[in-house]
Amino acid sequence: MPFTTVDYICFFAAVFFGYYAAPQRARWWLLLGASWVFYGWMSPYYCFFLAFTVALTYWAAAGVAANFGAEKKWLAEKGKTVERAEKKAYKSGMEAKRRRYVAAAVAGLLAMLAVFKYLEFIFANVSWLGGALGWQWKAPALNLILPVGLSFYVFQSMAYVIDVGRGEVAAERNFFRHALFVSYFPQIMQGPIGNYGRLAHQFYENHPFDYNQAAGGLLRVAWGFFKKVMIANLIADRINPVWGSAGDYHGAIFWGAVLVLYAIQLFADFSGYMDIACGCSQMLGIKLDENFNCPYFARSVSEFWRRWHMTLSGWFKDYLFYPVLRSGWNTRLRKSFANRYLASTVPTSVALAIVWAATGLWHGASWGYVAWGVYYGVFMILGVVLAPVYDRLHRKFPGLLKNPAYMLFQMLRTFAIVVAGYSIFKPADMSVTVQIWKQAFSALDGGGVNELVHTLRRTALPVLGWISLMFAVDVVHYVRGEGVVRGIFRKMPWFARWPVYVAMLWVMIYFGVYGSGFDQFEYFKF
Amino acid sequence: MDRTEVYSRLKGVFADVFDREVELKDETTAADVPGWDSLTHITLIGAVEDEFDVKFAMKDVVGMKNVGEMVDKIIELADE
Repeated sequence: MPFTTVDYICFFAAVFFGYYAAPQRARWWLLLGASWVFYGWMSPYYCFFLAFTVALTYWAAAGVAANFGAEKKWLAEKGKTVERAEKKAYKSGMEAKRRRYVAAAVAGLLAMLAVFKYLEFIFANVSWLGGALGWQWKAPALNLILPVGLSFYVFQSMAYVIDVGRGEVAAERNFFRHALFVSYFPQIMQGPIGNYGRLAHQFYENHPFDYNQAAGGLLRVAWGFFKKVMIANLIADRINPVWGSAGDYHGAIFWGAVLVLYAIQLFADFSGYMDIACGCSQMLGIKLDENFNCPYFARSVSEFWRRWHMTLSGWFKDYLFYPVLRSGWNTRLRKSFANRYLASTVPTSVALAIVWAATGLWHGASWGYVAWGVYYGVFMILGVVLAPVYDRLHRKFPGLLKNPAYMLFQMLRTFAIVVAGYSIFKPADMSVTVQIWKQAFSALDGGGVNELVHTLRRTALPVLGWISLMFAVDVVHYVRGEGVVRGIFRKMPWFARWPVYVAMLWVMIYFGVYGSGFDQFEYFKF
Repeated sequence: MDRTEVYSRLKGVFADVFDREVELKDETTAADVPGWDSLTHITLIGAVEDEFDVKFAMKDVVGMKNVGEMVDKIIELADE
């Protein structure tokens, strides 16, 4: 059930009132039931994937927990009497068994992703490769439907099993409680990818109704709706046709403006969704992890990824980047270099290349997404390779990093890199990307202005106004922290803030772009 | 191995990784040492493992909160 629909508003109102009317011990059952209704709303068929994920990860975590229990018992009984070598052998044997459970769950989840998200892509490539080698094989048309949110909850539950395997969190023994962690409705379709240690316990804590929490959450939801219907949808309505016929538009000004507008659209869309998800959850007293922290103010590409889709980049850091860096082969690679610079740069660059190709592939089954991941990988690797140069520069000019002009330059440079990257990300098809760049520089006559004016039509001014408002709120967020603007509103007397609320609602209803064709979010397809 | 010995060897490892002397106390965290980001952290962990011939679990790599916890863990692993 997409958030910006009347269905969802009715659904959430029912959940909200039911939640606070229900006794504490029944609330998590209500959340569980609501989550499955929410997820199965578009197609009950999706629930099979969710059920498979829940069952598989429950089984693996229970296996690991039983193994930990047996190890603890053995150590308590025999730990002091046996030789150290025997103890060590026993422990490593038990660890190997735990790894098998974790590996089975990870393999099962990846297999499900591989079939429903990547199989057509794999078939198409095999077929192409076969053709190139003279072996004619036509890939069958599969027409498999990718369940919405699959990549998100698969990653969330995979992290849980790995955490249980590492001994970081204790496995959930109650099957239905585990099901709630995997399927909690505000985050199931598009994240934030939840962390078990920070999220699960909140479902069972007592959350008495708190007017300030609920009102603050509602205001955040309203702001999320505003970003989606007033900015993201409005821009999408104007620039969507452009992507399908890139050859019809030309000029650096045109394409520069369209890519910047897309950057704003995607941010408003994705962070607007997060505001709705986090706001709804806050109204129920449950805090979700934040996914955005003013990404377009980042001063480097790596900082951008610490501020954009933070739960995904955090996931890749903890469950792919660190394990690859610490793997045996990577350590051997590090030790094979006598030169210190190479010993740190080469293995790190290899790990970064793997992580960024995987990040690209996570977004979708196409070479375009892989290329987009590689694009960031190149910048990340350059960051590592050139680190000594930057260090020397910053040591020579110690005031530089605090110089506002230099900071602004760094921000604009990073933004330009991100915006250029969207020419790969949005079409997810390299031939279109190449066409965009060709068209942008087809004639250096400053052309494209007319096309731009025609594309934006009368929306140019209002869009600029709403974007400025979002930008202003984000500046406050950057300087003072998330939620400060809402806090200021909440402290104002009612006669000052209610007219603003009513005006905001009125503007959204009359000028917003919503309804059929606009209730999907950009990240649903991942 | 006692804490004093661990600290003196650890200082050498830090100096090597960060290219300068770093003052170390139990309460020192990554935020106190310029340049101690997630990348350097992994390099540091690898260097510490080489120096003390131990292997940290991933739980400790991401979970250690300060130098004091690192020292405790090194002693625990070296004594195992």
